[in-house]
Amino acid sequence: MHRRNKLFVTIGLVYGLLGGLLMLVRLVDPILLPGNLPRIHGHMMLLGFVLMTIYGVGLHVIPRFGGYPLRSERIAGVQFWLANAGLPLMIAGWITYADWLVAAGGALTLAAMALWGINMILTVKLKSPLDAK
Amino acid sequence: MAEYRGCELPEGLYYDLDYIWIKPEAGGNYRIGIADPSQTMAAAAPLRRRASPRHAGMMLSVDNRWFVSVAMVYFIASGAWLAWHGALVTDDELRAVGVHLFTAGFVQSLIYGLGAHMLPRFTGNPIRMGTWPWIQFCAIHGGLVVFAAGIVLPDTRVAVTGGVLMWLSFLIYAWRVWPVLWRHATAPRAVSPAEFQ
Repeated sequence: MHRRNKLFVTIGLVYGLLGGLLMLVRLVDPILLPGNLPRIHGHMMLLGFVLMTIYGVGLHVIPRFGGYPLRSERIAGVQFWLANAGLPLMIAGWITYADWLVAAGGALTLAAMALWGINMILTVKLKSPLDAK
Repeated sequence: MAEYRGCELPEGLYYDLDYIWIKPEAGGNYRIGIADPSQTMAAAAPLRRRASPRHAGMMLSVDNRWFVSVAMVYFIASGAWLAWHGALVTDDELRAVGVHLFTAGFVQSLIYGLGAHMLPRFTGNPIRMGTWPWIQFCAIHGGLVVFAAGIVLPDTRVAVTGGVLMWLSFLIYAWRVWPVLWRHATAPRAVSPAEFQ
């Protein structure tokens, strides 16, 4: 398994642990931590845990299931950094109530999602390599 | 008989390089079999115990079947919640119940089951087994029920108890998966008799 894909899954685990812990703290003491915590929790679990896991596992299995190599390792590398810059910026924006940070982080996250989707479409292709022979 | 690497091969049988032979028969049929030593080895080979950390069949283990199956139960339950409340994410005080039926009950449990199945096969490293997946299973699903009860009652202490159980299930999952991802795949080693049935 590619190191980048293992990092995706690992970072997903870290987001899941931190996101869960964050909401537990809020349940115990709603005013202890600043920011929009339910929204941060939701995005850490969905964009952090679930999506990072899908990124890592998808980059590994979809080329193998499709029968073609990953179209662009470089795009996958760029997408890794965009995804891991976008979500922390969004979280920082919700903690500080800075909408421009949320918007900037959201733009990076959207770019990562688009790059991953395009990379996957170009990797899977619509014709099986078995049919091509 | 022809001889290959010390083995006597009957005339009229087509062997592959290992253990399979093919014999043409009347009517264009072919009989396929395995060589005697291979049959002997297969019969003599002890079964691997499923709880062994080295066990890696293609099919889901029992614990992962439970994770996936119960995920589907929550999937249906969250669909029923959607029909009952008109939305999965509602604006009322029960919002957290509907959301977590889908996200924790369905998505997280499905990731637990499929992740624990696939990741060891991707990396070649075994995953921690034994009672750990069952503790993880009880923690996520028991925790979710307790958490939902805490929201419905409403009772913060009950909700926190459920949340702690759900978080502990995640901690166990991360603890099980971490060495799968970051320990170098080990060379095949001798398996101890205790790992056999």
